[in-house]
This record gives sequence, structure tokens and C-alpha cells, in this order.
Amino acid sequence: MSCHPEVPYWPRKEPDEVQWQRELRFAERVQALMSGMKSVAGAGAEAAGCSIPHYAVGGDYFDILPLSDGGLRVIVADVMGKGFGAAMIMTMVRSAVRSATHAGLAPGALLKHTNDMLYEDLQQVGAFVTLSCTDYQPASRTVTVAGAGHPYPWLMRGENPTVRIEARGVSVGMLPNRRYQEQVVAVEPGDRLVVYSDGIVEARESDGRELGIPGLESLVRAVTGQRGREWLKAVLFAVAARAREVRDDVTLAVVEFGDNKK
Amino acid sequence: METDEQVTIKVDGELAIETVEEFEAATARWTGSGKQIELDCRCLAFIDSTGVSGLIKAVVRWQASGAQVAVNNLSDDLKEMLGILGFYEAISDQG
Repeated sequence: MSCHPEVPYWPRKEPDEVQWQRELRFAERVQALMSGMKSVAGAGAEAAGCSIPHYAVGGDYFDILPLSDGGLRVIVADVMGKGFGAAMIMTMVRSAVRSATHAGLAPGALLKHTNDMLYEDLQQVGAFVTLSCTDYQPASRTVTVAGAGHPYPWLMRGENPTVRIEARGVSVGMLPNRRYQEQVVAVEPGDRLVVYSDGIVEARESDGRELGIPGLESLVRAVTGQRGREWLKAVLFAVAARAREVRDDVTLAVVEFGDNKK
Repeated sequence: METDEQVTIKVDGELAIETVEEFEAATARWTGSGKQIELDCRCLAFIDSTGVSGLIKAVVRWQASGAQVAVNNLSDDLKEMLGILGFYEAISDQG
């Protein structure tokens, strides 16, 4: 079968179940390479993240990229839908994001670049992508956040109320030629920045209700004495223990700020 | 509910990857009807990203055929979620 109208039927052997499973296992390894749990330290901050696809592969993506000034860039993206198609689009997003980072683009410009690069393709397949980009700048002890339709990152400081950093912007692939604003927020040692995809707050509890933002926040605040990967695992285990059903890909990333010493 | 000038379509339950095709099939008939179209989302409990895409496609299709479209009675949570995604810009830019 050909998926392109102008390409004739191509005589080939149809894959059997063994071949499909082989391809699936390889796809899972590629997915884990891109979005498996990892942590990266910068000057005065450490970031960790993890994506869990709903099926074998999925459309959530996160990245932690060191910046030339010793800072860190944290990306969380969520492609519409689940499964193989979403995963393929996710790899396109990852390439656009990494090329923009390599070119030294700031968060807002990175989102514009990604939308400019992918808009036509996403329109063709009827998909969109939500994307959050956060840069930590150690010299100024600030984070710069830009968002394209993505849930707002949280800044958590001790027992203070959680601050939602409202970086607003249209999802990638929805409209052409978009510009994305940036929010700049000061951070202090001990602060924690949390970025997530909506799959985690859409998890259903035993009564059928969504965990929701308040539910996730209560689970996050209940995890004490842990940092980095251990903190991530503790939160994800807490969500898994409370959820009857998770319906989508899930991503959770955290940046923890310390003194400006690496 | 339908009058000569307007049709109100009630969207109930969940608009998600499992139900979006049903939504698209049920709403396609109003394209080119010449009527104002209201989506009454009072009983819409959940919408995922695939559902949002289906909703945008339906609204943009109707607008392209000359219809005035209103998406009403969304819960505050859904309204906020759609606002963050850029849904309202997406449909107003096309309309």
C-alpha cells in the first residue's frame, strides 16, 4: 500500500508480527534516548526531567540543554495526540528546538523559529504542538520563560503560594507568523521551577475526577527531602499511586536553584 | 435545536481521540447551511488535544462557509485550557 497518491504500489513483503515487534522495540529505544529520565547541572541550578509515553512511543518531549553562559535551557513539548504519529512529529520538534538553541535564539525567538519551520507540515496533518521554553541565566539569577499554548510553569518558594509564570502564546502549528513574548522572573537559592505536560493533571483518580492542577500541586508539596531525579521519581510514584487511569503521555521537569557555584 | 436562522449543537461528554470522528461526522452536515451555529458546551466534561483540533477544524470550516459561530457555556476550566492553547486566537484569526 502506498500512502502517497503519486507513488505506485511498491511490491514488498508485508511485515509480520515479529518484524513489527522488532521495529517497536527499536522505536522505544529511540524514544528513551530522547525523553528518558536525565538530569543536567549548570552554574547554580540543576534540572531533571522525564517523559513517559502512553503507548510504546509518544508525542511528549523534554530536553535540558546547557547554555554558553553556564545556564540551562529546559524544554517541554506536547504533540497533539499519542502514539507513532505524535512521536514522529515530536522528533521534528526536537530538531527545530535544538537547531534554534545551537543558533543562540532566546526562548521567544525559539518558539517563533519552531512555528515558522513546522507550521505548514502541522497544518497538512492537522496537528499542533504545545511548547514551553525556560532559560536560566546565572549572571542575573533570572529565568526567561516563553510558552506556546503550554501549561504555565510553576515557581515554588518554600511555603509561599505557587507562582504560575503566565507565558502566553498560541500553540505551534495553529497560526502562521507568530511572535512569542517572554516573562522574566527572578529566582533565589532554594526555589524550584516545575514544568509539566497536561497528561499528568488529566490523570483520573478513583472517583473518576481529574487530578487537576491543585491535585498535582498537593502531591508536589508533599514530597520533601528529595532533589533532582529522586524528587521526580517521588512525584511520579505519588501520581501513579493516586491515579486510577492515566490517559495521555506524561512529562515532568524540574529546575532547582542553588548558589551560583557549579 | 434548529430555527430558520440558527442551529444549536449540544456537545456532551468527552471530545477526545475516541469521539472526535463521531463529532466531525455529526457536525459536518451544517457546513454551508447558511445558518448561525452555536456549540452549547454546557455538558462538555473533557476535551483533549485531538478534540481541540477537531473543534478548531469544525469552527474554521463553518466560518469559511460564511457562518457565524459561537462556542458557548464552556466550564471555567475548559475555557482557561482553550485560552492557554490559543484556541480563541486560532478561530478568530480565521473568521
